[in-house]
Amino acid sequence: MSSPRDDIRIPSAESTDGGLHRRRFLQLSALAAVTAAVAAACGDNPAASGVVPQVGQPGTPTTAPTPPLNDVTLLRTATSIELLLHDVYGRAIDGGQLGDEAATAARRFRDHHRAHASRFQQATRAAGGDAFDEPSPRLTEIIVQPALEEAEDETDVLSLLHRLEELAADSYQSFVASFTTPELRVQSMEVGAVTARQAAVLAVLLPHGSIIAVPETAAEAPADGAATTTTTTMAPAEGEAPPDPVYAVPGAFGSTATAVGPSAYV
Amino acid sequence: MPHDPDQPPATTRRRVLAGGAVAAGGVVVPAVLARSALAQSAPSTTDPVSTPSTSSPSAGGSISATTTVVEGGTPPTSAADRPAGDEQVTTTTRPPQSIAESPQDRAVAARARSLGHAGLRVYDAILDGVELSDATLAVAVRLFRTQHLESANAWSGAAGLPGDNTPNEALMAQLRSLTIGVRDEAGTLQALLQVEQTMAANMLALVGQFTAAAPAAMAAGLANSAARRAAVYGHALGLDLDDFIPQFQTTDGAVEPQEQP
Repeated sequence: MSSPRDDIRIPSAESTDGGLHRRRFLQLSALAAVTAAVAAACGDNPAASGVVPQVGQPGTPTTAPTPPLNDVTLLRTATSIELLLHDVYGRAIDGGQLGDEAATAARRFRDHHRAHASRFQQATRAAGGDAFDEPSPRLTEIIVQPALEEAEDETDVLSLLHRLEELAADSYQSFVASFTTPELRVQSMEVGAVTARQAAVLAVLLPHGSIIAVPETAAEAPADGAATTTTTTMAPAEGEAPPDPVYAVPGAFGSTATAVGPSAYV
Repeated sequence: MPHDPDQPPATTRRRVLAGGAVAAGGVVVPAVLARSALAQSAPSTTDPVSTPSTSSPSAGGSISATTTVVEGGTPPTSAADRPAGDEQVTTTTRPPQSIAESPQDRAVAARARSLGHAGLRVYDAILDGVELSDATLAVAVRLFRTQHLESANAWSGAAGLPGDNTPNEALMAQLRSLTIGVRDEAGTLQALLQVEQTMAANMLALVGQFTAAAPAAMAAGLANSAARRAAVYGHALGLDLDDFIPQFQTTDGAVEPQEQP
């Protein structure tokens, strides 16, 4: 298999064929730059000539594109998340690593996400925008692809699905604060509350998942039920740190801890 | 076991898988988070029913306090009072702003509070004399009960409402049948599932009833939490997923706005 370095056909540092090898090229380039800088500095007084010497071509200042934070951006972002979940559930089902219960849930949840994506696409068009129509490229690149490459068993796959459901639920909850109309806030939560349920079910299917953070023993629970300490339900493999525990109901007020920003689809 | 400073903390493949989304979420994130931070602030409450509103989610971080202690006691109150050459001192504490400022939103917040108190009362009625065999679930149910109180108190605090523990009569009437004759474990869980399904519908309805975004975001967080509790009960009962996870959350069964306590 050829590497990118092979493709550019720069001879190795040990080359004796008289060609300009890579290291030599870099050295000469650096020398040329230094020489030009010295020459410029030794020239006429820049202040007198009114010209400031420079080496190389000045770059054109650019500003990173920032999508406007508006309803359409939020809806397109939401669509990209739903299509991402639909895609990942499909891959998880096709991968054959899920047991019966998890596979049944995955099929059901995948269909939900397809319907959610359609709803968000309709809302995008109704708001005057172009509907987004692919899984979030950014989240695919930085989360899904690396995780799927590492996934070895059902727990790995479920962990990824659970995290993505949490991400979706948290995001739609956070979008409520940014949508400009009550109707769109409701639409966000018509989906958000479903993804929250799905995240809860996946949490209890995971070996390191639990309903809530529970005390070491039920007897230690305060009378008002305000549990504060945690217990790990999965025995870690030797030499491995246990995975962080996950909970079906992390708190009374939902969470926006893993919410993505409104430009996540780009 | 003492930590060896030469060794990095153990990071396993599974931890990477589980944590990846969180880390990525943190990277891609959050101008939005600051605005919705109020939805993350869970007030701590210990005493059911008898305790009026204690603490509440901050209204978008509106509280600002900077205090510097001055030698010699009380900080000066104005520049004229300040001795020459003395270190400048600022003591500022802005009162928290209500997240429901319009009369309409305050009325909705009051209804939301009454719904939380109704949830608490119905839980108490359903759980009266019932012992759940699953210890973890039993602890969870007790915690879920207090979450309804937390939500009620949060509305009082966040909306600046006076203390009032009155439950929503319309919701109480709607759910009263659930509290009658429930004694076995499955029946108890089924009744609690129905309570949470109704609460999720009500919280979603509130999202659309608030005119301002901040209280709507708070209702959204409560809707998510109620939906999660419903899913826990549905799963514990072994129900088919369709029985407790709809394709879309609806407001079916929510109390109508005109049905005030």
